[in-house]
Amino acid sequence: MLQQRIAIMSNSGGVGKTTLAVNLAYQLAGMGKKVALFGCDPNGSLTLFCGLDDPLNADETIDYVLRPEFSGDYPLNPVWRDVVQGIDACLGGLILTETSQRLVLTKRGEYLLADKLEDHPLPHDVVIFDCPGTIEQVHTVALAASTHILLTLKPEDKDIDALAKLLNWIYETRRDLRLKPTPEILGVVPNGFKDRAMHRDNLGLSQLEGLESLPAILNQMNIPLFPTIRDSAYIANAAAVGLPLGIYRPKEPINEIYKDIAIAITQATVGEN
Amino acid sequence: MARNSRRPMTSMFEQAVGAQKEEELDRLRAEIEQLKLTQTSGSGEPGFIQIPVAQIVALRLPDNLKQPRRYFDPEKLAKLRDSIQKHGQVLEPILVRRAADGLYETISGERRWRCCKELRLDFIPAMVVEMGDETALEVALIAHLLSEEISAIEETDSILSLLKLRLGQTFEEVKQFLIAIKNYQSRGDGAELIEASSDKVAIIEAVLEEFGLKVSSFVSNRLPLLNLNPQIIEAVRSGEISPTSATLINRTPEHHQVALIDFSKTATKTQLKEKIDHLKQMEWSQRVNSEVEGDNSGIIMPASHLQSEVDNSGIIMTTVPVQERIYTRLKSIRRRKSLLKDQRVQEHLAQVDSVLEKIEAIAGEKGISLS
Repeated sequence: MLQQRIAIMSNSGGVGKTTLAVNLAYQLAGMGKKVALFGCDPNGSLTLFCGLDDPLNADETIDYVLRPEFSGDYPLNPVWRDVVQGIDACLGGLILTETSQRLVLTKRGEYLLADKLEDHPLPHDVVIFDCPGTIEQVHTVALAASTHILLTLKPEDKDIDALAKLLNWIYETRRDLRLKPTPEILGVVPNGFKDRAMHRDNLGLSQLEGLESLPAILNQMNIPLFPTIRDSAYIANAAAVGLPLGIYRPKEPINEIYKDIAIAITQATVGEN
Repeated sequence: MARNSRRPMTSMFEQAVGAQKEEELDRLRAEIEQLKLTQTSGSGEPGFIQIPVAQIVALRLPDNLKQPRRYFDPEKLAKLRDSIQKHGQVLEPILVRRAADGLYETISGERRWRCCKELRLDFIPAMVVEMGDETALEVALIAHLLSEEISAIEETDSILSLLKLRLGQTFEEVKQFLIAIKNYQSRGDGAELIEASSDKVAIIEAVLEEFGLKVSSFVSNRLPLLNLNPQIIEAVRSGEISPTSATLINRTPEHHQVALIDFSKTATKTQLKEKIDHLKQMEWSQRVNSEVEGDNSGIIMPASHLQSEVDNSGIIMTTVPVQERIYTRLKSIRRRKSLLKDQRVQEHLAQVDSVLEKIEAIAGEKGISLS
């Protein structure tokens, strides 16, 4: 079975990318999959969400992988080993701002991560890239290296507008990069839903005539929409103690949604089209 | 879209939808080209299956998506049929989709399938895909546009259909919009309209670029093809006559076109050409005769007055030498003030002027004095 590489992207911050990354890793590990998490965000939130300490130097981060001379010794950190087997994390952090600048000048810079993962394959079944909240160089690098894309957003106008721009960017960039196979959009995950008018309207839950909704538009574009994850203090609390929701609060129904998305990942085919 | 939102969600997604379609077009193109390269001579080719010819029908689409071109050139069809007969099979797989009633519908390769039917072949190699009506039409159009033997009028028709599909507008709206873009690009007319529809302009330019065309040349050189006499273009669209015949007939005087259309339904292109040439010669000799008889008015006597000039098809040609035609036509517009006020007309006249200069230069070369 081919390795699946999932890029989790959004075009706005604080909409649940890292939360989704760690929870998918946990759910996938529960199905017996080996998962490698890659922190591609300069804010280093993956480190916090995994309950790890900030890396001491660049050689312990993804920056080390994104060098032409990298030869396969991935700086991987075991995660939640006392509870679950098979999850490793390669951390990001502030160093990534410098990495981005360097990549622009590197030959095949956009394809560097893809090339390294091809030349030095990881033994993991699934690799997850946790991307930053604004489109930048590292997005291109992650896109080129991924087989699938997951998108997250809050059901607010500014997020939806930003999602549309991100989609435009994805279609244009994956065409420009001539990726074979093309990374497929696995779906959109709405996060942080609160029961108020704007969120209900945007998700098509209001009984009002003539309101355009995100589900209808995504349906037209043939992009799957996963079930909505409601705003929950438990999610924030779990992140604060560096655990996935499945360990922090196993009975929480939201875990079922993460599980469904994890199943969708295992069922997605690699390399069609 | 929330109840108080100012920006509609569809406008947020407009560009993303456009980019998605662009990418799709790119992919389909590559796929069709791949299909053209694939030869099924080796057995067990992955992705292709042999389908019973009897289980295939032509692509069926709802009325609003009707395919523009239904013309199959009998000569080309015969050539293709011979080639298939020689090989005993179709080499290049066709593209079909599975319909709800279990039959397969041709998306690309209708001609190959028709030949197989005529040759009573049992099977044809095909690639079966799942496709909605819109995508199927789009692929059919692209496949048509990628075929090597497509004429300019067919290409123009298909490109317009593609634009119609992409923009969700009628043929007429698409044409008007194309003209508006050209006027904007050449003279800055209607800037507001064009700038407000920059997304549509981008879609149009991208589609045309795929086929190496620009809006301005498409409007000036291609759209006029569709301005052939309506009965001619209708005959082409319904598949009664070929586009080449259509262009030939369009050059003949209007009152004979119906008869010529009728004639070319059963005649080959060569026969049609011979007929037109023959009629031209007859016309020419008639004109010479009338001049000899002292008629210097430059006006051609309707040939129908002369029993001997009517050939057995009932078609009469009144073709006038080109220089006379141009002279008469210029005369008819030179006093139309409202027409001459139009800047487009002035531009075209300037073109005519510069072309005439070229002819004068040749006269100079030959030492012919024109004054």
